[in-house]
Amino acid sequence: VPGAADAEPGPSPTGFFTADVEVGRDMAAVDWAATPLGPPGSWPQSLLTAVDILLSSRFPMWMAWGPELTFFCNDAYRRDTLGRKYPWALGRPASEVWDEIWGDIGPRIAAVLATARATWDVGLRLFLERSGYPEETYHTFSYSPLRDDGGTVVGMLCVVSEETGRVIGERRMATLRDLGSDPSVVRTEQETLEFAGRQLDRNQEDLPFTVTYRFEDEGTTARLVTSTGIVAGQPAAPALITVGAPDQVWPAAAARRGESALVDLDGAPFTGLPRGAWSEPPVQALVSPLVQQGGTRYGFLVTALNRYRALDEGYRAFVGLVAGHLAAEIASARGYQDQQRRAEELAELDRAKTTFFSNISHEFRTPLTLIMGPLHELRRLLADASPQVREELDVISRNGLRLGRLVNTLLDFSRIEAGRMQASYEPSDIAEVTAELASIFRSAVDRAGLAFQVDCPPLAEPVYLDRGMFEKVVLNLLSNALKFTFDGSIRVAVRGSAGHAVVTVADTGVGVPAAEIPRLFERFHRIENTRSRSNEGSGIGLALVQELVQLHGGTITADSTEGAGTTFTIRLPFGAAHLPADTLVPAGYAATVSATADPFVTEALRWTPATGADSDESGRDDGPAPLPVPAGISPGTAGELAVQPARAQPARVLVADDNADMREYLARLLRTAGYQVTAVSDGQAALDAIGGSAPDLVISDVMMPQLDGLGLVSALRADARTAAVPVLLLSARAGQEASVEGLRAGADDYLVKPFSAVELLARVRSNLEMARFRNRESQFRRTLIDSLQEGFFVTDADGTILDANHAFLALVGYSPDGLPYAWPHPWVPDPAADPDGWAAMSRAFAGYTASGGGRYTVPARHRDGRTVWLACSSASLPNPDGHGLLFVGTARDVTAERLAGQREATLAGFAAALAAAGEISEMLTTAAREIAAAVHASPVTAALWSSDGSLAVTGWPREEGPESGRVPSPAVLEALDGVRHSPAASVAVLPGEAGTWLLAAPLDGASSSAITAQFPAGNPVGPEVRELFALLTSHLAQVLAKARDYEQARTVALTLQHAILAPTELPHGFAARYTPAVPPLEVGGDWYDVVPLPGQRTGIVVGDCVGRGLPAAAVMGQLRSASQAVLLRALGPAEAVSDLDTFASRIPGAECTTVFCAVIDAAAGTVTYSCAGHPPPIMVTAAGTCQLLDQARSLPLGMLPDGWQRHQATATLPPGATLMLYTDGLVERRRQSLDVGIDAAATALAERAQDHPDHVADHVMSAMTPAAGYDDDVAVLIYRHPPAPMVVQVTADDSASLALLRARLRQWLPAVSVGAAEATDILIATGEAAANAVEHATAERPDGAPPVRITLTARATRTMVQLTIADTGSWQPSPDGRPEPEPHTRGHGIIFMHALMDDVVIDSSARGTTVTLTKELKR
Amino acid sequence: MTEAQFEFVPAGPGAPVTVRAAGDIDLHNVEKFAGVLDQAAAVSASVTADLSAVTYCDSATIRALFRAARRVRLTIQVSAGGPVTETLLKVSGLDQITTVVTLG
Repeated sequence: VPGAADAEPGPSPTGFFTADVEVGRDMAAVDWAATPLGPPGSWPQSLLTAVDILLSSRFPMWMAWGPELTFFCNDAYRRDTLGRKYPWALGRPASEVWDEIWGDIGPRIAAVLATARATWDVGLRLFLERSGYPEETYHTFSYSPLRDDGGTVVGMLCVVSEETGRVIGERRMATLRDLGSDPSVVRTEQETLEFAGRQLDRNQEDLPFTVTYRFEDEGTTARLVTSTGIVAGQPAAPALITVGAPDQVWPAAAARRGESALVDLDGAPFTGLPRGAWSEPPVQALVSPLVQQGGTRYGFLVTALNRYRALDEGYRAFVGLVAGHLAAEIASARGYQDQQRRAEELAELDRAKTTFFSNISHEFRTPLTLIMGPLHELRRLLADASPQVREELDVISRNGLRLGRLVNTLLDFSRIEAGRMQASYEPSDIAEVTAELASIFRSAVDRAGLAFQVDCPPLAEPVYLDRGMFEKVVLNLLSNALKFTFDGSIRVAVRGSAGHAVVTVADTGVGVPAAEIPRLFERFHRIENTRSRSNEGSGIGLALVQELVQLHGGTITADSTEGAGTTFTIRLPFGAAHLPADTLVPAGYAATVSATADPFVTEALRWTPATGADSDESGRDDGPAPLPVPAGISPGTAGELAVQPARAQPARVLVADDNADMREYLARLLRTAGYQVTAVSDGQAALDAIGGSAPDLVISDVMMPQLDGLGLVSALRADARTAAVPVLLLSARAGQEASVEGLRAGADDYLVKPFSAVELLARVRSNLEMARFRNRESQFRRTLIDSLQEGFFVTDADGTILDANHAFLALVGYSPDGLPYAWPHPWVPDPAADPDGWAAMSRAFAGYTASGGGRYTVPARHRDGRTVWLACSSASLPNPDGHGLLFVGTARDVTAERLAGQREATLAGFAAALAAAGEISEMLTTAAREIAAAVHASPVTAALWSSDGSLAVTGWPREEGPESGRVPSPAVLEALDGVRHSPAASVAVLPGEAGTWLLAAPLDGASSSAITAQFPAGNPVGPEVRELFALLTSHLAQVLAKARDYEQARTVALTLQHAILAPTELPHGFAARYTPAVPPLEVGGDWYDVVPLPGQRTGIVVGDCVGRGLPAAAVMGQLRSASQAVLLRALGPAEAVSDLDTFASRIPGAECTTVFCAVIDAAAGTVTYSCAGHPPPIMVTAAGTCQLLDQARSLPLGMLPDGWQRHQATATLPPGATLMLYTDGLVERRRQSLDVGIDAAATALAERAQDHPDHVADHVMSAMTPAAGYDDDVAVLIYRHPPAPMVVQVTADDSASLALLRARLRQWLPAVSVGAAEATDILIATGEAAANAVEHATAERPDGAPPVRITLTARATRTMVQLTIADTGSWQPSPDGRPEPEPHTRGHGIIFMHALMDDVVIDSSARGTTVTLTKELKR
Repeated sequence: MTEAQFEFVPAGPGAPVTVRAAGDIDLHNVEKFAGVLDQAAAVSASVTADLSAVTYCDSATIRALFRAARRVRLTIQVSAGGPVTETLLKVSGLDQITTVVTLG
């Protein structure tokens, strides 16, 4: 740069350019004689003045003068705009200095020179060559004419404000805001990236083009997923990049490592790149990895860079925020998808399994029933067939039983896995139960020639057992032992040990190879090549045993030595604490069903050597038994008659007759024929004798006391349990009518006395046969119905359940013994306890009885208390007895589906509640409340750890106290702290205080938040509750992650907003308050500004743009910049407002803005102002008198008709006066005159006329706040004019003198706008000076001298406070006759004065001492 | 401004002997303050001067504290932003021979 190096150091030698030392020196070094202006000595006064103004201004300015428009500038311009062109530019033609933008500014300057009218440009984009490359910059500037001494325009002055930072900041802010503009919607990953792409595409200045790649195939390739400003598939945007390949277009490998990279865009794939918003293509691109918080790298973002901006910190941060946003969106979308997919997969698997196993049940059980039923009959019919036939039948029967057992075992598995195994644990004497089960096997073990030791002494405590399950466990183990043991013994033992019952089943069998033991309990695993009694076996018995033991909360282990035997050890805990509360039943509740034992023993017996062809099964089969030949009846007849039903038990016959002889005769006759007889004397006695157990046949006399035969028939028919019992009536009455009467009453047969023994026995036999035939049919039907997996029931028209299968009764937990169940059934919800359930059930009942059937889902109350949802379907059919209708129905347990549906609804409600919450803390409180309600827990507590380890807790309920979520108990805190380090979405179950239970879950994977819910003591937390809690907390975690990102983006946005708002640092004596109307924004349409001017003058301005929110703020930002510039340039407020009129007409939306513009002259004590439609400022004197600055009023900006002028007025500022400028939001209220508001504001101001400006501002804002808060933008600017000096005089020997001085100072300091910290300094320094005066003056004074007086004078200007403390005594630093000062403790007074004040002058003379303290006020 | 008050607080469980001052301390009442400090120093080798409620103090107060600090282990409690400023304690050097606790 020519000219610069020659500049001489030191002050200007010529005496010119003195207003600025540095620039002045460089200007002095210019060879002015070589310019058209000539040496400075020859310059006209107007040029010298212009240069002086230029140099003394701190606002950036440059000017051009003379024929070549010779260039001058000041220090601020040099710093902000000129850059490397300084000092080369000084004294050169302006067209040379600004060659690169002369096309833009040349015509403007020419126009100023030609017309003498000022120009104005807001935010003009100029490409400056000041940093070594063409740089995109923005400037708001005005060119105004400069005249020579003769009044001719010979130059121009440019006041410029560089706004590059604001314009670019706003542009980037807009992009970030657009990116985050939709925080609540969860999208797919592709939708998310496309949405982001559309937003990025709108900023082609900062992002000429972008391409986004996603890593795929374990990170080996990167696939292009979205691009902006460039067409996918171009050389710079290939669809696929192989990570780590040498010739890759973008450094994908670096991004894969999480590193950013800067790429120079030159050479081959980068030729012909798109140019974005610019005329030249970008020259560099930044590759940023898309990294999630946990470190997962999703891909990378390539952003081509604006070639006209340096990649500074701000640019990098902007690109970083964009990349961070993309990564967060991907994380969020993937998290959501993963969760969705997992849930669907699990549900699908579960559905498939359930379907498979229910198919098995239907496909196998029904045909099995239809095989086993007829087979049973066949074996009976073919009892006399050849041994070969019977053997074949036995084989079929045994294998049918085995197949049934296998199917049942598989069904058990499917129930366990679906969580549908309905266990009922009752307190049991495990020793007794085990011994009983073992005894069933005794015969089989004996037959095998093995010793059988059963050693089961009673235990002190009961063990909770599901009898059906435990039976399967023991029988399986015994059957296993028998199968693999050929010599020696089998031993079953029960012992108690350390809180457990231990059951061992040991054998001396073949044993298991050590290598096989770990797989012993695996499903379908069979040990090959082992000697056993049978090759039968599916390999699932032991697996089922293990599942069943685990359901009991126990363990099973196997211990085996090959060739020596195997011992299985089962450990079951005593007590019920380990079992779900809703599965416990009292002792004796569950029926002791031993049906399961049969197939086991039958099978086991089959393995053991049979001693005879027919002896092994005769005891347990329905084979023909030898019958006693009745005595007293002729053998031929009796033998023929006595062909008894083929059953082990003789038929039971009840005889009712009031005639004792007849009764005895009948009984004898029947007993002789092989029947089991009960004889009673009348109908009532018959009913009593029957009780719950119906006989096979009733023989009754018609005429009897109490209840006669016809009454007995009716009573039997009325009871479902006896309705099918055949009744044979005996009567002495002959004739058609009597028999018809009897039969109509429901009797099956009618015999008129006298009758022969043969006739009676024939009738008995035929009736029994008939009944058996009917029974077989009904039993077959029942077997079929019972084999149905769905619940099945029959009701009459009154709703009474006449019949139901086991499945149905198991659903509601009631026994078949209670049939029929009259309406309302015991499982119908209680109207008082569950009115909704009762209503639902009643509605369903009324509905299907009225319409003859239907489908309905109703809640039933299971016998154990829980609610079971049943999906029922019923249809009507005519009652076979001809009376009305019957309904048959099926019922299915849909509780699980129902719960799933409720869970969905709960989640939807939860999500909606969270969406309504704003900030993170509010979100957590809402979540706590919702979770508390959803899982019935209290309290629910959430905690957030910040990076410094501090902890913030919120929760529900919000009240104080131990039950509150806000004051967590130590156990809760410990749970929170423990779980926060767990992986995301895990749930821990922990014991809380006093027997309570806690569920705890982390809310992120970053250990920084967690939540717990506390459940009352007693009830362990069920799996549904745990699942629901996990579901809700994982949703909360997702929402929180999103909210965090959103708040981060918001913080960035706020910082950028502050860049366009007013200065936060005001000069001393000023205070300002600003409240925007639209809450999320920190800026609005109002503004204020304070502009220091040369001399002791200060420009102040308050304005109000039309509208609110962001659009108004954008206009405001431009007007604020403009008002700064015009205040600096204009001669007075009127001219400034007039200039603003011009600007307002060029800025869209700026017209009709109201402005109050003033210049305070502190030296003169005046304020000169001009008002454009703005409410009048208020001035209050120190004494509290109010005055409005309501002169020089005119219309708002841009509204002035042609030919009108702006005016200005001047008001005197008395010492200590307070001036308040404000916008109408402060005083305007609906249905209230503006004057009322202004009066109120003036009153509030007067109340604090002597207070510090900050306190004054706070007081006015709070006094004026409407009940519902401000609903418009409000700006308030306070100025305190320095008050008059204060003089206080006290007597030195008055003990209260120092306190009095301090009291007056304390009052005065706020009035001169001194802040608290500075006031303390001034008080102490003044106190020290005064204390010295008191000490010395009193000590030195000769007796009789007049009292020493101390005078304090305090003065303030806008920038400093000066205090003078004068006394009339003498003061010497070390006077004679006084004790020597103690080392290190004396002299602090003066040290303090120097330390606390900026200047200390002590002037001592014989007449007294004066201390002058000066403190400069910082701001 | 408040009337100065000086209070001697005997040692409690876990709390040292404390002299609590409130209000303005100046030339006219500093001897009273020094007297209470002496009283405390007479009963304990470790004394806390609680100045968090002091509204004004000057070099006379600092002098009294120096005197006490030479005799006992002195802890000075001040309130942040109060008149017993860091400047006073630092400039005088008092912070080097006592423990200063600033209450937020």
